[in-house]
Amino acid sequence: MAFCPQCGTADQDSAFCSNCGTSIAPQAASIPVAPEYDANQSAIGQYADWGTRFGAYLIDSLTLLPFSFLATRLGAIGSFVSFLLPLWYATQVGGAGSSPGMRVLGIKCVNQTTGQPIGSGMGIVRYLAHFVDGIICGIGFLFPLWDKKRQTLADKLVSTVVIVVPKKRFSLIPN
Amino acid sequence: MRGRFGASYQLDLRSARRPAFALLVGGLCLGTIGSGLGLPCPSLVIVGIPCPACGLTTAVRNVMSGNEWAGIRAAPIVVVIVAVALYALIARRLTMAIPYVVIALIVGAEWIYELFRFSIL
Repeated sequence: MAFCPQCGTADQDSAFCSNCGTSIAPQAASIPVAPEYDANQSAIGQYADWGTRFGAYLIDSLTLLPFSFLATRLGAIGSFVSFLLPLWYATQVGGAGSSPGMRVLGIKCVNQTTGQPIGSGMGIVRYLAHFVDGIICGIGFLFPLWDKKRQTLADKLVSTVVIVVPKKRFSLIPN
Repeated sequence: MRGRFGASYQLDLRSARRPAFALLVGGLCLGTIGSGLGLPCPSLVIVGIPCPACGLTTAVRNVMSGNEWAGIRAAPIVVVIVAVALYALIARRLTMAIPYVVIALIVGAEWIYELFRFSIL
């Protein structure tokens, strides 16, 4: 049911008021419509879904595999290097916001308030915080499936979100 | 978001529908198959201490196959999880605020129960 904005007459079916002749349609058209709810959208950007994040993790793991294989051939020092390799990617995630897999799939890790990368040191802290995701039977890694901000528990601990950005060509170091 | 019980976790109910469906159908399938399928708990394997989610696979499988008490004995938190999963499937709301205090109390109580169940306490 529509009302005339001029005289207030109710039950207006046409574009003009049946009582005073005032146009009704423009006012009706100018009523603001609430934007459609989008769980993935924020002021910083669109949150990356779980599948893309898992894909980036798989790419990162595959790219590190040859290095790990070579490192483990070098004995104890090699094993230590093998342990450090994921930290190299963690510093990239902190410093540039993305690892090689994340760049290829077009996602970036940023601070949830500033929208900026968190820094290499905090990148390592975030990597170590993934321990919390894994220790409860890996449930923490599944959190992006139902979380409003698509965060893992590690993301929540270091206040980061992973957002969608334009895809880039594969590179082991940030461009 | 802060409510009567302090800050709350914002559960995105619309996104939770798929995992909720997978959880309930997965539990139903496991209950029907009757396999002992389940991931070994990293905490239990590495340090010998059960995590708060220990027994959850068994619990969901038992509850979904009609053995409610066996499921509740394995992990009482299954009642809350199945209830939230069902609510996510039928609710018309888009989000659900769960106070962190409530989450901490439920998970803490579950963990203490599991520590007793595994004779750690």
